[in-house]
Amino acid sequence: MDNSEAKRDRVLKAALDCRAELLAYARSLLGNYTAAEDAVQEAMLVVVKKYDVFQEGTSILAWCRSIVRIEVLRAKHRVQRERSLAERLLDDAVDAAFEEFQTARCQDDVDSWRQALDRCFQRVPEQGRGVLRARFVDELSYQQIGERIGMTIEAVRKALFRLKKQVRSCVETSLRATQ
Amino acid sequence: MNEKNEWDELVDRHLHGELSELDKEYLAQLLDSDSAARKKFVEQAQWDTRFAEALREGHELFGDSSGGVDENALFAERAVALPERAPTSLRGVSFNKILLVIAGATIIALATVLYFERAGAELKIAKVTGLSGSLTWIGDGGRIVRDLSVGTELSGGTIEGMAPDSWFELEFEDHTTVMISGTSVLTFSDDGQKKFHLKQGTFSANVMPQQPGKPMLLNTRTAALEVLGTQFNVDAGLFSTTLNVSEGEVRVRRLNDKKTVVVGAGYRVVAAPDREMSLARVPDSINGWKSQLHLGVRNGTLGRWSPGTGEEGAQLRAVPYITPTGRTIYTASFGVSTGDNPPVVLHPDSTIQVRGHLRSAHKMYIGMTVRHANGDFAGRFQAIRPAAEFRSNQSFKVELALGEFTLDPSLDKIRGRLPDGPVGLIVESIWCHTLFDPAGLVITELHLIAPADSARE
Repeated sequence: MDNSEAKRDRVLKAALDCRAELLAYARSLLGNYTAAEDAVQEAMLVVVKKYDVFQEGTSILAWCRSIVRIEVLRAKHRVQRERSLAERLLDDAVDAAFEEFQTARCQDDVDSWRQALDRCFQRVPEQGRGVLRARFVDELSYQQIGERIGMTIEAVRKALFRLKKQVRSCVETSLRATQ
Repeated sequence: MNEKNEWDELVDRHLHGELSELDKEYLAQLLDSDSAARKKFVEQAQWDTRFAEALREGHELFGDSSGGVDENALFAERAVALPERAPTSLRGVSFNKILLVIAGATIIALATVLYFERAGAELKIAKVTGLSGSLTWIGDGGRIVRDLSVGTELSGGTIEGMAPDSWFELEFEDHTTVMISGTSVLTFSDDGQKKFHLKQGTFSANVMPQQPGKPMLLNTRTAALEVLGTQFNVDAGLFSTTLNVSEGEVRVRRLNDKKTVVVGAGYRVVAAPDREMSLARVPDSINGWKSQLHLGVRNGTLGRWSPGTGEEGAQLRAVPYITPTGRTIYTASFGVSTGDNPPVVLHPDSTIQVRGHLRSAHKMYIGMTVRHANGDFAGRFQAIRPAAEFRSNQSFKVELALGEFTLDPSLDKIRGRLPDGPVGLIVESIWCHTLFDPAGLVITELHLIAPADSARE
């Protein structure tokens, strides 16, 4: 394997390890999970083509994020010609927040997090799982979830908040216990 | 609902693309102003997205895959509610789902056809109420129009002033008027909310009260302005934007660091990345002004500037531009009351002194573009000096009293709404030009002499 191929493999592996972080970033800018997945996928194709531009020793996450941002802007341009002023302001603020505070997690953390989530999710009652799935997998609005399962919007709102809090604190407690 | 819940819901709705424009603005403000909020936002967005990813990938988490909610029904709802959200992979989906996707795609295709048919009809949003000088309008689809006239109705597009004497006024359906002058470039649209992008130049507006939640927006290279109803004028250059407010309030956001200030009547602000962004009272007007070409040129200047070399001082050489009728004008123009400089007001006893050089003796036009204190265009006034007053390859000095300036004949059609003379008005620019032939006009100094200055001299 020559130096160039070795570098390509290193860069690609590092970029793929950041996929979850990049997905969170793209979703924060696009407000849609599927669109964010597409943007990250497009960005990964750019990483494959441009890996030799990446300066090893610098932050792979920051580099990939800059590529994702371009793909996000392209995606936005495809569905709306011009972003509103509020949207531009919010995009800039979100971008600055990620630049300031986002860090990549190591693979061990990811694995133990997934195991903890699996355990904690089993404790959520069946209807609660339906609400979470409707929101996170099917991306339904509060109103659509409410109509579907016979709850008021307020009840859906409260249930979502409570369920997310319950799962999150369970995962965090579980991770602390295993450390 | 308590504060924690509200924050949680705000971020949740943001991540699902459900925020209104006001909510977006509110969240942007929170993030801009609070480092802890930024940190919390990133953590929550990451947690939320990992959670969504885990739910999407690990259906085993659910045991019963429906979790009490009918999967096909949910898919149908999603297809109707979010037609643009196509799934990325069809692997493993049922025939019904494929039919739904096809139906969704058909709806999108029909919607697209309808959209383009509507766009082709070019919805008119505003009417030209005044114009002069060389202008180009580029409409939707890149259509270029040069023969604009008063009364022409326009859809959104870009208007470009091609010369120092260009001026253009547009009135929207709610009687909001906007104006550009000189070599300005303005893009505008109105889809229920008026949006402008001033690439360069001078812009002023008289804005009627706008619909709640839909303020008029003006972007420049360095700032974003939000207007509810007011009178103001803006001078946008490459590196700075100067805003003067005559009435009401305008919110200005500097783009490089998102710092925001609200500018009230009688105040101004300069938004530039390299200087303090603070409010200042619109400075008191002055009556005198000098070009000071040795210091360089300011916004609104048109011509080829060269610094002083040896015995020759700094100079501004006239440059050609072509009028809509195909003729060439050679012009040198100076921005006077531009940027953060104090407004220069014409005193009745002021005089204008021009020093320069002509390669060949030629009739010369000396003029000024003036505006009212609220930024409204007030006309162009000019004086003419015959060729006999000049000698080829000789320096010249011309001195003119304000009484010699008359309204530019190209503004005759709107004479009734313009003042009779320039006295008492703010000088936006002063220009000198020769018509049709390259006479080698060079200006070395332009001096607007106020009575007090002349007494001192």
